[in-house]
Amino acid sequence: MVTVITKTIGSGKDYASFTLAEADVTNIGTSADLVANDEAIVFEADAGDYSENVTFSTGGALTCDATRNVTWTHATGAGHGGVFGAGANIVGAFTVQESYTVVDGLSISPVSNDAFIVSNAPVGIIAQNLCIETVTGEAVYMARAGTASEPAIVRNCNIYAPGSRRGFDLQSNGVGDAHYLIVNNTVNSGSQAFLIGLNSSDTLYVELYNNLAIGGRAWFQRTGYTLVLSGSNNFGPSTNPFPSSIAGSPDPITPLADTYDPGVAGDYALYESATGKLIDSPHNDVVGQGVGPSANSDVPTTDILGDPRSGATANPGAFEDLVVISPVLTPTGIASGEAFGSPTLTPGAVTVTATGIASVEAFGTATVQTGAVTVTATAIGSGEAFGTPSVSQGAGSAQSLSATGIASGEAFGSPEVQPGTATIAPPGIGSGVVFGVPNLLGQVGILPVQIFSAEAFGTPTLSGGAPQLLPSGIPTAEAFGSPTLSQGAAQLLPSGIPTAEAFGTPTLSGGTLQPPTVTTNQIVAPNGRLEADTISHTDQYTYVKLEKSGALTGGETISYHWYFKVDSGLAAGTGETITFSIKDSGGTVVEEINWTVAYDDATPTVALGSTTTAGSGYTTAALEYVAISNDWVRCSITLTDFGSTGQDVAVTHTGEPGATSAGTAYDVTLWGSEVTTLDRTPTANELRPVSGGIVDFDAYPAEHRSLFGSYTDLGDNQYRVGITLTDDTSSADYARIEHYQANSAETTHQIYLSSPSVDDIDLDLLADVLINPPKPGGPFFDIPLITHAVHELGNDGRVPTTVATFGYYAGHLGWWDTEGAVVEKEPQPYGGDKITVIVPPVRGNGSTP
Amino acid sequence: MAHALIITAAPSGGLTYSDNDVVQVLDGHLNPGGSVTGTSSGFAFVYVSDKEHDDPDVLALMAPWEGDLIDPNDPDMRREQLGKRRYTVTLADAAHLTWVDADSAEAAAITKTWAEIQALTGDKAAV
Repeated sequence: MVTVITKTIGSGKDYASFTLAEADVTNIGTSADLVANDEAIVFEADAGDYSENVTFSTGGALTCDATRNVTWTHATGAGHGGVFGAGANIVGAFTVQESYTVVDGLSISPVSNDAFIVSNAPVGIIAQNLCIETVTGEAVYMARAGTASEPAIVRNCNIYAPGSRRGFDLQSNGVGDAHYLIVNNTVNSGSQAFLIGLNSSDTLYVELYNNLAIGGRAWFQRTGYTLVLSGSNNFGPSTNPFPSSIAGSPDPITPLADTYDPGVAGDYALYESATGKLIDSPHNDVVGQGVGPSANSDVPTTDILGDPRSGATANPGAFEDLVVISPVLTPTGIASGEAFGSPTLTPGAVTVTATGIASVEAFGTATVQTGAVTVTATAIGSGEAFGTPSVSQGAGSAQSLSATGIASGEAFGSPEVQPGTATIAPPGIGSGVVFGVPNLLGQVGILPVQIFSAEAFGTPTLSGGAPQLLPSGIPTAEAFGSPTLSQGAAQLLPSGIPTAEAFGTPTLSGGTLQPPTVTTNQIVAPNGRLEADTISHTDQYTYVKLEKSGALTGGETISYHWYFKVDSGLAAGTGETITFSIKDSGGTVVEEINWTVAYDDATPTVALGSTTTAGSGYTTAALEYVAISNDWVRCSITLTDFGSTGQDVAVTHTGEPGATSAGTAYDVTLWGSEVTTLDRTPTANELRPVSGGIVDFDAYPAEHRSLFGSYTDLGDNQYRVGITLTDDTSSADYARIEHYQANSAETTHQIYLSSPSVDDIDLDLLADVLINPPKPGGPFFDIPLITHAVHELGNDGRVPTTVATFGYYAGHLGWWDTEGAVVEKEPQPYGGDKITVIVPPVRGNGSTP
Repeated sequence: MAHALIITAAPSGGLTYSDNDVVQVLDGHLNPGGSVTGTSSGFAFVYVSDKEHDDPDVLALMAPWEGDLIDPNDPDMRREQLGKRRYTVTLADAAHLTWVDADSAEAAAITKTWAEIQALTGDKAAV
């Protein structure tokens, strides 16, 4: 396994320059014998210009082979991207004399003279993915290099050598043969792309595949040596063309820069002048004409940019991917009866300029996308149809459909104009002309003018942005139609409509939103009473004020507590967002709390979605929620550090759009809302809603009092005891102990306490109680404290938060001692015979009143 | 105040340059790199107090050592390159083997005037 030693080049790195790195290369490995060490050295250069002439030559000090070698490349992210002079750019010559050197992905851009030089006959070198540019020398000069098995390889290089300069100068200079393998290079040179040979007695072996010459000339051979030439699929111009034995098909070609369609028959190599990339065009005759890596293993499987190259065919040159340029269609002089057809044009700036279209000609159905677009159909005569152009995209750019001179009987068609600023301005529409049904999205204006009698304005649909409908000068008997405008600020400003003209039936929606409505006492609240209120939203993002604090003095802490009931209509697994906000009296949100409520078949799951803060500086000190039961959730938030003094703080609920039922706002049921500040005692008024009548309840628990007891002596120390609880406000029976049996041998018995449905409340005794039999001759039973549960008998089931403690101070029970009939009578004379039935809710702040 | 930094191949430094060859001239305020400034890096350093790093006289020290044209009658023939550098600057004092930054160079006694540098400069082509 080869150990790769990476060294960095650049400011603050291992070496400030390539020269210093090269000078030290023999000191980097364990020794200079990389083969023996099983090591390889990789130099990675940062992006930037390196003004130096680099010569990689150790004079034989370094021992390398094809895998234990030295690579010069760029750091991650410092590639040239196919652009000359970009990335890690050597502003000077790079000379390689060391065998098995790899130079990969660099830019080489000398100010003068040759750029990439190979000399002293190294073997097995590879130069790949380079951007090489020179203006006064040869881009690649290889004096002598390679062997039959280890040729010098140059592949995937993008080469620019303008003026009289050449791309490659391949020689066999000195004593010995030279072997070169040149594959997939793009060469844009003023003179020959390839200059071959030198006056020598040696043999020069040159193998070329997939090279693309887009400069003035392709090939020139010197004389006086032996050339063994092989290869295929090379493309170049007709001046000094490639030898036919290595030429592709078609070849020669005519290189044309920045052209999508030459417009004249021929064999073309269409390329982008800035990069040399081939253009994606059906007129580009060299696309796909190279041999692919599956057919020739010398063809690299990636291109200069790392894009994949595969299959039996490929594109010639360094770039495998094609570039898309802006096409222009300019049909002129279309005579009568001719059809323009249905061209489809995609990306870039596009101009369709159809001129001189005579009567009866059809403009067709052009589809033009992206960029700033102008469709200018002029001089359309009577009976001609403008067609149905579709113009889309170009947000922020101005798009214009300007159909002028449309005579009577002509149809404007149904243009569709999408985002950006668009204007459709058909002027001078005569009688009988139909404006059509334009569909306009985004910020648009429709400005039909001079609409004459009996003309119909149509039924335009405008949505989004701020639309305007400004028909003017509508004479008598004309109909304005039935435009529909939705959302945003809309204006309908028809002017000058005389008598008897119909304006139509425009429908405008949006604008002033309907406030939510509050319906009190809709369902049973956690206190077991029918006191929970429902907020219903007609429009989204409207809110109702729930609570308000008194004026603050700054730096105070505010707590807000409330219950809300999850919408039981939510489908299993779905969710909704409940938004509560605390605002100052000016309406600024100082804290917004979003609750995500997920619902399943059993219980709701409540999670805090987000809390946002605005205004003058609240922070959330505490934020709590408890999903209790029966879909009720108790919430509490405490805010501190409010810096705005003299402000009332209001709590609001805002209608949110339904998550799964778009366009609807959830109804919310609330109870027990209150705002407190911790540094003072809230007044009763502050614990109540200040608008909307949301919660109309007694903040303190109901008290049910008055005890009536009865007693039946069954003999043998058995008694029957009856206790009746009576609501002192309604005087209705509230609960009753139906039965009690006491045996003198027993001291613990169970009392069954039940009641008919009264105010939707049922009371059950939860625990055994100790009741002492009446003392002989004594007046009463002794009943200690009894604990009960309160059951709601309404449709909503149990409300366990209202577990209550009933104070049976039993010494005050009374009864009649007459055996037989049960008599209910207010206890006497034992006074104070009250059972205080406390049904406390757990208040928002967790306390019980 | 030092300006240009001349970096040479110290004798027995193991570099790819011949002993005392001028490897590179840098702006004296640049750090040549962590592997160059390290102890016993094989490089030698001297600051030139009266020349900038882009002065043509200083840059000329990095000229390659080239021989004559192989065939002076062939316009495509190039000169034979005999070595990486034509010029040497011999820095005998061991102080030059340790890099210090420009501000400390004078105190470290590795700053010389251009005249002093010229006196230490050798030309292989003149031999």
